[in-house]
Amino acid sequence: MRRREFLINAAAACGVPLLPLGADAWATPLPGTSRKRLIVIFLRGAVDGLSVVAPYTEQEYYTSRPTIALPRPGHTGGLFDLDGRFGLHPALASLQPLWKERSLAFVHACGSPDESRSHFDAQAYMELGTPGQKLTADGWMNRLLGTFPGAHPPTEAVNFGNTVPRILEGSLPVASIAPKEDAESSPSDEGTLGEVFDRLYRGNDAMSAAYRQGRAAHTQLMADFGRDIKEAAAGAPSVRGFPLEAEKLCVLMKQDPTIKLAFFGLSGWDTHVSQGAGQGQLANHLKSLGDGLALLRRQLAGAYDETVVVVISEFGRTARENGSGGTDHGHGNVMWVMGGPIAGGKVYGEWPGIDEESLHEGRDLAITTDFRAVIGDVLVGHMGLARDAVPRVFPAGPNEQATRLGLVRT
Amino acid sequence: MLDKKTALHLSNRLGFGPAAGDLERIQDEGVERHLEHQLHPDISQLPPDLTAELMELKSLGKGCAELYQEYWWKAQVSNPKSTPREEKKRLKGHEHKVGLEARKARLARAVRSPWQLQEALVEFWFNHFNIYDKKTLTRIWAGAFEEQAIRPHTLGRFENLLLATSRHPAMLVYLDNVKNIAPTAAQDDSLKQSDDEEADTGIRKKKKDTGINENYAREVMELHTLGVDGGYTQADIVSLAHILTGWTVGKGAAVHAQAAASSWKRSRGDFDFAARLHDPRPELLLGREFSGSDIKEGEDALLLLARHPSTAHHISFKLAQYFVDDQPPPALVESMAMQFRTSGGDIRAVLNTMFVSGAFMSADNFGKKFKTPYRYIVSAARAAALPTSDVRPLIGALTELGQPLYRCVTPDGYACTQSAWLDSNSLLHRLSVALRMGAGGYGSKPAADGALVPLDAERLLQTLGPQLGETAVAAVRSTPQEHRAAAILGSPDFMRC
Repeated sequence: MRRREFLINAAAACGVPLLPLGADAWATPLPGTSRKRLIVIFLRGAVDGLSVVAPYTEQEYYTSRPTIALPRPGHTGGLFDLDGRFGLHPALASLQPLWKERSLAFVHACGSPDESRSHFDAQAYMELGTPGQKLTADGWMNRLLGTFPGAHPPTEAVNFGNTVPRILEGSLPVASIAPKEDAESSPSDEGTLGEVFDRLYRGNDAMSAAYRQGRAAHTQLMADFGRDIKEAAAGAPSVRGFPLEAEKLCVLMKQDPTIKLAFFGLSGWDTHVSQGAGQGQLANHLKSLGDGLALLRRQLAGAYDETVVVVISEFGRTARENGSGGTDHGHGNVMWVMGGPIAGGKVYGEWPGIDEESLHEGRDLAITTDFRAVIGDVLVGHMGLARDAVPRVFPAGPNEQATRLGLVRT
Repeated sequence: MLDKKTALHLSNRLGFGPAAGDLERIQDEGVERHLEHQLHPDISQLPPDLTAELMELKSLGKGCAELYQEYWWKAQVSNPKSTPREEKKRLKGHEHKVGLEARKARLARAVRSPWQLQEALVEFWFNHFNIYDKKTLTRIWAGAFEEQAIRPHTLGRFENLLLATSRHPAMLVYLDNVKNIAPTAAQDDSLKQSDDEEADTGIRKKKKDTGINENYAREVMELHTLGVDGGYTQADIVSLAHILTGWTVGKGAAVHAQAAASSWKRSRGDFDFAARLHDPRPELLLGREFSGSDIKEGEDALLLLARHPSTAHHISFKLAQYFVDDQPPPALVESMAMQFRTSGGDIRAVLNTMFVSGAFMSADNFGKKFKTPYRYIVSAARAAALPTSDVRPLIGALTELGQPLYRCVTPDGYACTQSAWLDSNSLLHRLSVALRMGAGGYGSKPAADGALVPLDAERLLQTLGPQLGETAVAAVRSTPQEHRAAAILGSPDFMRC
């Protein structure tokens, strides 16, 4: 089947109105539609924010972390100085140019007002966007889709992972790409799949809907990939892990302007044991993440000016190192915000300090900025959401004033 | 005689769905006798060819110390760093067999054992006390964890199951309790370990191992017993971590240093309570004081958790969610929790309460659960009578569908609900597995010329009985002959149980 036929079938199966355009129907944005994009990266397991953006001017940072604190800027293997107060982990060296060009910012002491130190609850709260409420039916990124005007094409939101995470769960379609999946290793050949299963999945039930959505999204994604995934892969043969997935996203975004949201869930941040300092477990993970983000910045090229990337994690880790050269579950954390529209080169947020008195419950970084305020500010400033529409995404707050952080250049 | 739809329901929910002839057998037995049989499995009675297959698995049934001694590649050489590449490759291949054999032992029994409830419970409890088999020594111990800590206790008392998992080396490594030592002990220089020969095994203390690690203490309350809303605080977590200091693997470092190398090497891999690493000071857990210098302190604390009303509720909810409905009726959960409390955590009694309940047996409940990838693959293998001599295709399918066996990284295990598994892309992957399996690509018997032979669709329909409704059967019959088996295995009706 040719791509145009795919699209027509896909659109018909989806109930999406057919666009009377050529083979690049999806590739041509409708007049007046936005090309603004938001990429969310969730670091599952709770990244140690005090190692990502370290408060190196505070003596407590060194006394409470005897084996895992990073040396001050200027020392061997030391931090990259951000603003005379905070330093960036040396494994994130590939992000230094982004900081210098001011398209990268951090918001420190961020998090969810809920006190939970359970990974599973805290992730659920953050993904549903309703701290303290586990029974919310949909994730905030799916609700965000609902605020976009017009029909919802099958690849408006793209998830990188085997299954759709809670942040994207909801009534609007979400396309998924399993790890390592590309045009060569996709589900079985389209023709046979349709021939065997179209008849069985034509009802109005959830499974039939998922089937049709999946067929439409898959057809679109594979067509996008088909054009130059090989070319892209040839360009970076040694890229693995997150940078490889990030590269796939760039290929897709280049081909498919209907993609507005993308999501990555990355694991491996729950460093209870031997997290390391300049080198080791955490440093390795950060390097891969930093390299992938730098790759996004490079390969999105002009589209970077219309893209914002937000990096979040369910909570921070203990201010003090634990008994095993690691850190345990904590509270406040740092959020990363990057992209052409970002007023970067700045560490935002009110810094509460990490002396004994200032710590939350005597052990964790306190929270001074609600994670929803950061995202809300990006949604208003970048995605063009009306300020009074933020409650459609985050129904229980934060209040309007709190979202005026000024993260996006005006 | 029992109607076929009820027989199918029992087969689908107590186990992984019908193999050829199962529905007729359950019809003959009737509900009561079937439940009675499944709740009292005689697991020594397996089909002889399955037993023979299991007997071939040399690592199956070995203890952690033996596995360490015989398979851990670094234990086979005097100096891992200077081992020649070829030799290292060979030894790693040998080590790798343990994981493959564990998977085979699991899947062969899930697909072919007549004691299906036992196999469902193995999946349920392993998942409840999940470990991940890529963290250092768990690579060779995940199967042993299942054999020793899970299988013997699936239908016994919950507290015995909890205690067995809590002291199993695989759990101690996975949730870092091997690193959890008394802060006072940590300051004692004589305990410092200079030899880092096998630091990466995760059981040896390194110099910086200097105190409390909360990981296990938190998860045992949040996931294994009370549940996240079960009424404990951060202070309780810290207390429990102190109470469980010294619960470790092999011998404590100081003892190692003093003992002959050969003696600790032999004991490496056994559970060990290292008194010198234990904090004997009193701790307050859930309002009760615990203190002592032996293992009893920790056991008493775990028993308190096992017998707590929050645990009765948490376990009952999870069982009902797995066996009955994604949103189990509160009244059912409450009656199970009551049975849990009055029977002293007797799992068999709690299950019986659930299975005889109206909520479980009601026809409204038939076909209501969406199969997880594991349930989907095992049920398809059963219906299609796939051989289990080589389970690698099944392992690969589980990975493709997002539920790789023994590879759930996080301690909460895999979810069993529709919302976690039904989405568009997952469904397409499932259908492509159905296409391959239906075409004979999963180890069913090839033709003489080696070509794949599609599964026999009529036999599948016969085996599955009322699993497929009329509409699905009609759609299957209008599918080209060579794809009919795939259409059955990929039908919406077969996605549910």
